[in-house]
Amino acid sequence: MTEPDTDQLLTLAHAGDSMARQHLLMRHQEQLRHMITLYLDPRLSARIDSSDVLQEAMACAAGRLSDYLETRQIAFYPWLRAIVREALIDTHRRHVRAQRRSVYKEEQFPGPVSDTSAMHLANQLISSQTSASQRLDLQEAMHRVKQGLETLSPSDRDIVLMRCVEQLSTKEITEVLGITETAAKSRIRRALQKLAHIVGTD
Amino acid sequence: MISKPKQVDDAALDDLVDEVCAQLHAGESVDVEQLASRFPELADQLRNLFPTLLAINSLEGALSTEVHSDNQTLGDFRLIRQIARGGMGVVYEAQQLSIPRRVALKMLPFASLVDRRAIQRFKNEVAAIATLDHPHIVSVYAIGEERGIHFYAMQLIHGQSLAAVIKELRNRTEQDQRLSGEALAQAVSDMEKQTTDGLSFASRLTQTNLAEEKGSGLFCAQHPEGRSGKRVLTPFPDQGEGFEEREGVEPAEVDRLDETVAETVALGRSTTVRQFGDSTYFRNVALLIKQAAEALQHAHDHGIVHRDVKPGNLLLDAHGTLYVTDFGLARIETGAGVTMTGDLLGTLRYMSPEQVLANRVIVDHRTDVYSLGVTLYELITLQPMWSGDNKAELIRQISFEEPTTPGKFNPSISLDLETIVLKAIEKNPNDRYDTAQQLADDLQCYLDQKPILAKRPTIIQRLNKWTRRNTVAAWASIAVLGVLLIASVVSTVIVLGERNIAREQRNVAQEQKRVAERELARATEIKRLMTEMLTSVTPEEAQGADTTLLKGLLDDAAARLAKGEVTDELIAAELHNVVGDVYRRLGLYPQAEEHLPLALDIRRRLLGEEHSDTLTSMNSLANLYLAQGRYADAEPRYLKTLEIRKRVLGEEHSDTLASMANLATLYLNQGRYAEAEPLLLKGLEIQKRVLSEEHPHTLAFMHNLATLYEAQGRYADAEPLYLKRLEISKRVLGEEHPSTLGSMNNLATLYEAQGRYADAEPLYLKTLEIRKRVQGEEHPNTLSAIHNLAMVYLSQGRYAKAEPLCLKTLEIRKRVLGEEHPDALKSMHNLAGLYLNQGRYAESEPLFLKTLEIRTRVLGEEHPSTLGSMNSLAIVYMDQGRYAESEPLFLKTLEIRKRVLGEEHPSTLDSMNNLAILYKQQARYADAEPLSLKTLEIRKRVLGEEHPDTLASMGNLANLYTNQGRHEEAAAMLETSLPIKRRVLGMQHPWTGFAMHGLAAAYLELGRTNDALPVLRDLLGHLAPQIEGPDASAIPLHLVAWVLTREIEEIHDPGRALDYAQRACDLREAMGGGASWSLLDTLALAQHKTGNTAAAVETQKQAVSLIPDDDFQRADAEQRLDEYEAALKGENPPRTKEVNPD
Repeated sequence: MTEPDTDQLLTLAHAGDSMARQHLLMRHQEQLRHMITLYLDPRLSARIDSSDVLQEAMACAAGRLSDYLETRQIAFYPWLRAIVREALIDTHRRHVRAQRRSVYKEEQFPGPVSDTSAMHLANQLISSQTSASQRLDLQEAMHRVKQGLETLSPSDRDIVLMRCVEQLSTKEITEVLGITETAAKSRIRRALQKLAHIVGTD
Repeated sequence: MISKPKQVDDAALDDLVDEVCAQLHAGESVDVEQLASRFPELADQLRNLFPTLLAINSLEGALSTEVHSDNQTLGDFRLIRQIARGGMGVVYEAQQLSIPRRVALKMLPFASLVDRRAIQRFKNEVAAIATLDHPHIVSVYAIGEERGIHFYAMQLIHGQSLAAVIKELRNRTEQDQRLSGEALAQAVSDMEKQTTDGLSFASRLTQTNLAEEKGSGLFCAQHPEGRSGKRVLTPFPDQGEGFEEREGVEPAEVDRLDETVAETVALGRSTTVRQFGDSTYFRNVALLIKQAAEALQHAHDHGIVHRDVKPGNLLLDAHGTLYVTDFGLARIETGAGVTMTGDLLGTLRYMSPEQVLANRVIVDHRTDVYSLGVTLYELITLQPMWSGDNKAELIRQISFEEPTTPGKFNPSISLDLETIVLKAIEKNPNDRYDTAQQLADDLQCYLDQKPILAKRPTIIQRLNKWTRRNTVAAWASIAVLGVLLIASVVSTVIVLGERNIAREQRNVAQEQKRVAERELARATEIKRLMTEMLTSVTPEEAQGADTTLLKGLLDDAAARLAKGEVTDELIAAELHNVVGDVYRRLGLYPQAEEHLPLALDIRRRLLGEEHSDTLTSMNSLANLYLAQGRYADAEPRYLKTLEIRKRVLGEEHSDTLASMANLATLYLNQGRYAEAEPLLLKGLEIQKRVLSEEHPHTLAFMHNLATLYEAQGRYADAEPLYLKRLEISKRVLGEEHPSTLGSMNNLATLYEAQGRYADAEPLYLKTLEIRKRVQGEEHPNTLSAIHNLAMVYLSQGRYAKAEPLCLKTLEIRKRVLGEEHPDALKSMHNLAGLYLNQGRYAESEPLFLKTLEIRTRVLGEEHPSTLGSMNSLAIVYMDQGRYAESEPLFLKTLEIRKRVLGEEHPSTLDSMNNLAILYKQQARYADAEPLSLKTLEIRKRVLGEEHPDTLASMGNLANLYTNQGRHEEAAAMLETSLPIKRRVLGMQHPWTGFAMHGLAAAYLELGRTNDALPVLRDLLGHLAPQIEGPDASAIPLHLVAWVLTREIEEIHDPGRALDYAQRACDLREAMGGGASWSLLDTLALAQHKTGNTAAAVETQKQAVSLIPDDDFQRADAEQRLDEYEAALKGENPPRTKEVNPD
C-alpha cells in the first residue's frame, strides 16, 4: 500500500476523516523526535524523554488541527514543527517552575544543543567507523561541532540542524523558511562553512 | 580558515553539499577524495568542510536517561537498577526502606504530569488500581512524589513477559522443537539461566524474597516445592484428572472441513503450516489466558479498563502464574487521546478496531477482551496476528482484514480453541464475548472438554464480511461448494445412522453419532450461511460474475438431483431450493424455474402450506418472478407468505420482516410507491425497536425507504435517512468500510438527482479516493465510483472532465471483464450517452448500436437494459432528425414496457414521453399532445406533483403548447410548475431556469411585458452568480444572453449579451460539446443588435445548417437569417422572433 500524500490526507482530514488525522500526526514523528532530542536541555534530559515532549506536542497539534485545516496558511510540516517548538519551550518553562528550586536561568529558546546527543554520537561512531584514529577524529570533531553550533547565530544553527539533524530535504526547508531552494542551499552551505571555520580554529 | 570562494563556484558547491547530506542521510558512505577528484575546483573547500559535515550529520537524538544508580533514593525507596523502559516511563527495581522488601518502582514521564489535573488523575487512577486485589494482578503498594518525580511502587514479579516468552518459543519452533505442556515454564526458566549479564528482566529479580509474593495460583497446590526454592522449575500440569484429551474424538478432517470452505475465500493467503505443540501446550496456554481474563474481569468489576493488554503487559513467573500489569494507565498516558509514545507499533498490534479508529467513541471493557484474544492468538500460533510493519498498514489490517485462522498455522489447534479466539477478536465489540468472565468460562469449558459457549458463528460472519468486500463470483462459488457439501454431508449422516443401528456397538455408535451430529449441525450452518449470503446480492451484480465454472457446478448438482441421487424427498427439496436460488442469483432464470416450483411442490405436499420451509420456497419462487419482471405472478405469493408468517410467527419475526421487505421491493419496482411506503415504515419501526437502530437489517430497511423516497422525488425525506445510515455506518464500521462507502455513494446519488452537483461531487470524489486506495484501481467498486463521478460531470455538462473517466472505465472493464460483460456494456452505453449529449452523434451511434446488439443477444430483447439501449439509439436518431428510424424503436420499447412493466411504470412513462417529444419535433402535435397529457396525468397520480419526472412532463407539455403558439396554455402550465421547480429542484437546477425562460417568453408573446419583466429580472438575478467565475457553464450564460437580447428597455443590453453568448459558445467548444443551433441563434441576434450584422449572417447561416430539415423551427431561423441579410443590404430594421434556448 502506498502512503497517501500529505495533501490528500489534509483534504480527507478536513472532511472529517479521523484516520487521515492520525496519519498526518504520525507521519513526521521521527523527524520531530530528532529535533526535540537535539534541542532538549541536557539538564532536563534526565527526566524528560523526547517521547514525552513529542506526545504533548502531538496532543496539542491534534487539538489545533481542525483550526489549521480551516485556513492552512502555512504548509503542514512547518506548522507541526512550530507546535513542537512551542511544546519544547513550555517544557523548559514548566520544568523550571515545577521544580520550585530553579537553579537555572531561564534561557532564550532555542537553547544549547543537547550534551547527550554528542555522547550518543560517540557511541554510534564506535559501531559505524572502523579505524580507531578516525573514530577519535570524529569524536573530537563532533564534540567541537556541538560546541560550535552553540556559537552560531540562531538562524544559521536552525538551518543547519534542519538539514543535517532533522534531515529535512532542501525542499522542505524552503517550505519552513519561505525561501527559494537556491537560497536555502546556499544558506546551508554558508552556515556549514561558518561552522567548519569555528570547528577548525577552535 | 575559510578562503572566500569564487562566486561562480558557489552554486556548484551548494549542490554538492546538498548531495553529500542526502547521501549521508540515506546511510551511504561518502568518499571525500573521490568527490574531490570529480570536482577538482571545489576540492579544497570540500576537504575543509567535510569533517564538519560528517560530524553534524552523524549527530542524532537518542536520549539515554539513566538514573545514576549511586544510592539514589526516592522517598522510601532506594533505586537499585533500571529494569525496563516503556511508553509509560522507566521501571526500576528498588528496595523499600520502611518495609524491607524489593519492589518495582515505576517513574512517570515528567511532561505528561506537569498539569495539576493530570497529576490528580494519575493519583486517582493509581489509587483505584491499588484497590484491586487479585492473584493475577500485579499489586500496587504505594504512590508517591519526590523532587517533582511521580512514581508508584508495585509487586516485583520474578519472570518474563509473555512477549519475551513468545519470542523464545518462536525461536524454538524454528529449530523444529515441539512444544509440550512444559514449554512455557521451560522457556521462562531457560531464559533466566541464559541471562547472566544483569540485563534480563528476570535474573535481576531473583534475589528478591519469594516468600513475600502472593500465592502463585493453580500451580502452587500441585507443586508446593515451587514456593520455597529459587529457580525451581515447575512444569505445567500434564494430563491429570479431568484434563485428558481423547485423541480421535475430534477427527481432524472434520475440524478442517469448514476451513476448506473458508480457504476458498482466503484471498490466496499462503501460510506455513507448522505443527508445533501438543495438546498440553494449548491447554496450558488456555489456562494462562483464563487467568488473565479473570484478572481483567476483576478490574472491570471495579470500573477499570486496562486498555493496553498485550504480551508485554502479561508477566509469567517460573511457577506458571500469570500477572497482569500496567493497569488502566494507558488513558493517563494519552490524556489527549492520541497515543504517540514509545513503542506505539508494539502496542498498536494488539489494539482493538474501536481503539485504533475511534476519535471519541468510548472504548469499553470489550477492548480488553479483544486484546487478550489477540494475545491468545499469538500464543497458539506463535505468529503476530497482523503482519503490518508500519502504522498505516496495521491500522488498515486491524480495521478491515480478517486474520488468518489459527488452524492454518497449526492444524493441531482444536476447533474449539480456535472458535474462542475468533470470537474474542471479532471486529465489532457486540460480536465478542460480552465480558472477560465469559471468555474465561469458555476457556474453562475447553479445558473441561465441555461444549464451548461460542457456537462458531464465526464462519458465517467471516464469510459474510469477506463477501461484502469481494466479487459475486467468488461467493457464488462458495455457495455452490456448499450445495455439494450439503449433499455429501447429508448422505454421510444417513450412512452413519444406518451403520450405527446395524452394528449396535455402543461406543462406536456413540462416537459416530457425535460425528453425525456435528455434520448435521454443519450442514444446517452451511445452509444458513448460503441463505444469508445469497440475500445480500442483487441479480444484477450476479449477472456480472464469471458464471462458467459456477454454472458447471450447479448443473452437476442439478443432474445429480435429477438422477434421484438424493432419495429423501425433503432433502431433495432443500437442494432444489438452494440450486434454484443460486441460478436465480446468477440471472439464469429458466434454470431456476426448473427447481424452485419443484421444491415448493414437495414441501407443500409433505409439510403443508404453512410450514416455514414451504414458505421459504414460496418466497424464493416469488423472488424469481420479481427478477423476471413477472410482477403479477410474484405478488400473490409474496402476499400469501407475508399473511401466513404474520399470523404464525408474529409481526416481529425476522422472516415476517423479510416478507415485508420483499413485497415492498416488488411495489417499488412497479412504482407502487404508496403501497410500498407503509410496509417499509412499519418494518423499519419494528427493526429499530427489536434489533436496535444500528442493526444491519434496520439499516437495510432504512436504505429501502430512502430509495423509495428518492424514487418519488421526495428528496427531503430521503436525505435524513441516507445521512443517518451513513453516520451509523461510519461510526460502527468505520469510514473505509464498503457499507459506509455504499452509503456515501447513495447520498451522493441523491444529491445528484436533486441537481445538487456541488454536494454530490466531493462525496463521489471521496468514495473514489478511498476505494482506489483500499480496493485498487481496477476493483469493480472503484470503477463504479469513477463511473458515478463521470455521471455527475455529465449532468453538469462538464463533458471534458467526464469523457476521460468514461473512457477509462470502459477500457479497464473491457480488458478485465470482456466486451460483453454487463458492466463493460454499461460503460459503453454511458460513453455513448456522453457523446449524445455533446451532439457527437457519429461517435455515439455505433456504440449504442453495439450495446443494443450484444444486449439483445445476451439478455434478450425484453430485458430492461436492452430496452435502455434501444431507447437511447432512438434518441440519437431523433436528435439528428432521422425521425423515420427513430419512431419504430420508440414504439417498440413503449410496447414491450407497457406489456412487461405495465402502463404506469416509470420506464413505460419515459418511453411515452420520448415518443411525444419525437412527435413534437416533427410538428405532429395531434399525436404528441395526448401522449404528453397521459404521461403527465399518470406521473402526477403515481409519483406526485413534485417528482422530477412529473416536472419534466409539465415542462414538455408547456413546450408543446409554445410550439403550437398556444401561449396562454403554456403560460398557465409554467405558472403551475415554476414554483414547484423552484422549491424542489432549487434555483441552480437548469430546469428551473428553463421554466422561467419559458414563462417569460410566453408572456412576451402574449404582449404581457409587465408580467414578463419580473420573471426576466428574477432570472437574471438568480443566474448572476452562476455566470461569473471560471466555473460558469454554458446554459446559464446562454439564458442570460437570451434575456439581454429581449426588446425591453430595462433589460435590453445586446453588448453584454454578445459577451455572454460568445463565452457560452467558447465553453461548449472547450468542453468538447458540438455547436448548438439555438445558442448560435442567440449569438447571431446579439451580433446583429450590436451592429455587426455581417457576422450575424454568418452565425445564423451556421445555426440554420444545424437544424434538421423537417424541424419546424428551421423556418423561424431561416426567417431571421433573411432579416439579417436584408438588414445588411439596408432594406429593413432588425426585427426578429426569438426561439428558446435548448
